[in-house]
Amino acid sequence: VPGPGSTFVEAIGFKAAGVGGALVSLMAIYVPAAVLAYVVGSRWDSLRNWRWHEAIQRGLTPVVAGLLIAASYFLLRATVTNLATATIAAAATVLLLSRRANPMLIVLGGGVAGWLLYH
Amino acid sequence: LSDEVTSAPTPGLAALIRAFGLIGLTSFGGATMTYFFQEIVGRRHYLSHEEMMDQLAISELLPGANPADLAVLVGRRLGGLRGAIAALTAMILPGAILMLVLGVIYFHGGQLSLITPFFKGLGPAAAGLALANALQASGREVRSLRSVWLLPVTVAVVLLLRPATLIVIVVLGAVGVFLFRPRGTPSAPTESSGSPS
Repeated sequence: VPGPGSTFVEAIGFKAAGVGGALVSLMAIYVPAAVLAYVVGSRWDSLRNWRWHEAIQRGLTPVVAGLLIAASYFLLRATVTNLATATIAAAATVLLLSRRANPMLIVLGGGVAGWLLYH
Repeated sequence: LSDEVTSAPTPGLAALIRAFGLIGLTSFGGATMTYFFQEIVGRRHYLSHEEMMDQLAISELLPGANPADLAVLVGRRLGGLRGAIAALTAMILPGAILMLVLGVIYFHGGQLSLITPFFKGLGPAAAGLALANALQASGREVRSLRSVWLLPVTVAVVLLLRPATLIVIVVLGAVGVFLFRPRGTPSAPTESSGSPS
């Protein structure tokens, strides 16, 4: 399902209280974290002349890049189950790296390929 | 209220809604970060790659849904409070509506099996995109020889030990920050000490 994984909370909210319940449960899960993110974001920006600011920025990026690699490994392990899905994943990787197609078209293409293969 | 932040071309609210709506619409199968990089950095140049990595690091440190935190952070950078609200709403709404529709069908005894083959192909495609995006981000890290070794170490630690993301970024991030620690001129008064360059 598209969107952040936590949208499934919405389905439970819907089950419990209809469309209104879905919306309320959706808001309840996002708002507190969003407020915190907003406050931390502005605080961080106001510290841009602090001498540790650049150190923190530059020091965290290799770790973040490593986390992105690890996350993609877990995604691949969860979705690549056979030669066909491996081919789809490899094609998507190559297409994005070569900048030949936009990401939305690539996932849609994958979806269509999946539908043709498995329906 | 801080509105003196942005550097590059500042998008209007409508442009923000469009960009984040597209991210929300296309964030299938967990490759959300890919769309952030491709849309905000790559296609529209709203933020530099480094700025996006910075915001991503903050979002990893924050509790709550990661992409939602990132939407708030990036939306705020680009459009203040209104930008943050617009970005978050535009990003979660398309998926939320689809989820609601699927939920209605499901709880009314409908069949979702018709669309599952679609998601079977969509999943690996999204994973492939995530890999490509991670490779692009990693390619830039190679430029900094002082810290690039942290990247494979992070990957190895995550794959072998499976710690919580927060622990990884706090512990290994601290090592990274130490590598770039400010030197000379001990304990200057905060801020006003003008930084060169």
